[in-house]
Amino acid sequence: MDKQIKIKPVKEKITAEVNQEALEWKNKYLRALADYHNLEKRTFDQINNGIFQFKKKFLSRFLTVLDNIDRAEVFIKDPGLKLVKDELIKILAEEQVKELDLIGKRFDAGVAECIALVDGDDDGIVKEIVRKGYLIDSSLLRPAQVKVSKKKLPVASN
Amino acid sequence: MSKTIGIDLGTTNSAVAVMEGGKPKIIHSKEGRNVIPSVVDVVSRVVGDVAKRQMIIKPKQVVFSVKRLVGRKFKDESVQRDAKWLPYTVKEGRDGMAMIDVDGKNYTPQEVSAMILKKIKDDAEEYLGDKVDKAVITVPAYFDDAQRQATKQAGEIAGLEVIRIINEPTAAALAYGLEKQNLHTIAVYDFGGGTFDITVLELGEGVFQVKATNGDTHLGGDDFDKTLVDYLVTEFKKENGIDLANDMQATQRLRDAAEKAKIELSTSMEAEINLPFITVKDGQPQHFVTKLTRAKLESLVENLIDKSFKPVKDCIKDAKIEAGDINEVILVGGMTRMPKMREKVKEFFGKEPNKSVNPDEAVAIGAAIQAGILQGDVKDVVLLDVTPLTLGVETLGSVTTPLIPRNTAIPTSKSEIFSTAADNQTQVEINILQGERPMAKDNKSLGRFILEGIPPAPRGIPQIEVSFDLDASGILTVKAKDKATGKEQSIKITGSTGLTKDEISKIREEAEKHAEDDKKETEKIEARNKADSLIYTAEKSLKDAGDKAPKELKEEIETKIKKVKEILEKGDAVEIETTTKELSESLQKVGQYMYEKKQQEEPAKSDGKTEKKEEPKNDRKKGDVEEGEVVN
Repeated sequence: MDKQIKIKPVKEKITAEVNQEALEWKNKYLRALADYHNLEKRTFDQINNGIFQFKKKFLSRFLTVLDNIDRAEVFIKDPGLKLVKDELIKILAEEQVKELDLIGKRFDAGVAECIALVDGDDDGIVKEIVRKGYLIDSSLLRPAQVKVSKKKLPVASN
Repeated sequence: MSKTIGIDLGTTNSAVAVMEGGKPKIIHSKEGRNVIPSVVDVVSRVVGDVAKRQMIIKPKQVVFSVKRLVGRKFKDESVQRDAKWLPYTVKEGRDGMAMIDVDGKNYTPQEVSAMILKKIKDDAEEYLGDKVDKAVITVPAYFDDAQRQATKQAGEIAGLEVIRIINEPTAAALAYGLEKQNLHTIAVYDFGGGTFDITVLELGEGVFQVKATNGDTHLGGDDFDKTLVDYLVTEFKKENGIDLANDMQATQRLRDAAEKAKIELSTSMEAEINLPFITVKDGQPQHFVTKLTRAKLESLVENLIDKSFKPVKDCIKDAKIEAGDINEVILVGGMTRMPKMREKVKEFFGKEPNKSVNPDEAVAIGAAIQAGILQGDVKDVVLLDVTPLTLGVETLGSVTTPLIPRNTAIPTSKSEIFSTAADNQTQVEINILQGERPMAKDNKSLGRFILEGIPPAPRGIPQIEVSFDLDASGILTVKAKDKATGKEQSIKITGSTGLTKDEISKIREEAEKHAEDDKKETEKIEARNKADSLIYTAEKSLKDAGDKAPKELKEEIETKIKKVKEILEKGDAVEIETTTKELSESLQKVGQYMYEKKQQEEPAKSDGKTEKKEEPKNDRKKGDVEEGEVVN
């Protein structure tokens, strides 16, 4: 303590070094803080996305049940079956699941898969839906499977 | 700084991963999947699931399996064979290279691959929220220079600087962390969607070398699905006499059900196929309900699995080794989830294959690790440092009392109050220890110092605060302070984490090895300390009671003290505990007696006040002061 004068010049030099180091640390700290904030944001997004992906996966499992009810309807005319179907559709609708309306429209691979080509007057029109497609919110829950028209080539003898 | 991604550019599917916070992570596609189908509509430049959905509508412009053509001459035998079944047109391009023709417009295989890579790059950028311009891409071990060059070009077309092309089996080995182990020969069994590869790698000085590679370019998971669908069609025909093979809609449902059942049978023994209203017969709906056992599936596809072992045998022969020489077998590709396949691999190599990494992701993960190494990420990752070993002080009975447990993130500090172990002890020695063992002698002493000038007092009374402060660079400062006088003493230890990795793991291993013995010894010492403390209290009580206590009670206690002392000399923990308990009971009698006597003598003054040491309660509660080591 009593020898303060003696160490003074050295101290100035040290101060410069210390300042430099402090600056580096400040920089690192700010970076770490920024990283943290970014992580926080992304974690939030990831959690939300995770919930959404789970919901998609879970709800899409009910779609095959709905498919089968659709198929059953062709043969079973009891109105009870329609009540069952409506109930299921209502539950799905409450979760923002809705059926894609594709028939007669231009084929869009973004929402449907073409499983066969059929003769038609025009190219690329959805003629038949083999398996219905569904949206959840505005994103695809399950692509439809459809048959798409292909223009018949004119036959010479006709 | 932009990130470097690792890409598994596969024949059927592709995957991408990146190093994040020092760990590889698979980047999911925008569609939320961990893989992207390697399918491209070359005209609209649409890639993945969306392209796959229009394969039937645009068979000539939706390109898949382009990896089979990359860097190959059109006249190559394999290209000639593939061109026959690929629905799009393959023709001879410049320099005799294979090329894809879509409505008169030519696309090189690398252009098509580039479209896949572009989609991967875009998805990665969206995920990372940052530009991505560098990549490590994997290729099969059998790819020749032209094929590697073409793959590199594909990356460049996609706007990626390909900093390294690495072999898929090498990437898989990296994903399994094998470069860190002392393994010599590794077999990588890669059963993918459309191709099978087997590679023998040799590891020397941290570098993987391909000793031999072989495979079947037309053997994969798709064949399994097809076999299963065929079986289901036959079964249904047997039952109902209807051939579903010609019913587009029915086969589509069968295909989906077969794939689901195949996956399910990897984890369960039985899967149900439930397809109501599959078709109509005489106006009546027909349902297809059947149970498929794992055994049945295995019998159906056994020949497909067996088919993989011919290339395996050839590969081992080429490597000039025996199956038994392989130190480790790793599994890659989704099909290797099948228990039967694992069983056969085990049977062939005579050892359990390693399956700790997701087989669909292993190659991409390995590529990301390689990217991390090249980028310097893997080396320079500043993980928050942790103390590798526990830090503590030595306390009564040569026990280590931990203050900072191992794996605590640093900087950190911790303090605890200790006391003296003997009456009128005026100094304590602080012995700083590092290690996982409960006994002081088994741990490393980092330093010691003495705190002097403690005012004479009965044992357990002085309060000595010992604090540990470990800074970010691992420098440990230990301070001991007598709370009564404010006197303090400290020591700075710089080498507290200066152990090599080997030393640290050795210390941990030893701790595990001796865990059982150590536990016994600790118990003994605890019992011993307890007994010791009780003897002290008992002797003090007797002294305090003087002539007031009845003679027979005093004698009883004296004998019991003697007994405890004798047992202490030799006895085990259990014996010490029993005798200590006996002594404690007798001692309580004295207390009770003294209390009653006092009440009789001075009934007026008795309420609320008790005399010193009347209650010989000696069980120390947790959180009470602990005795520091005695230094004479």
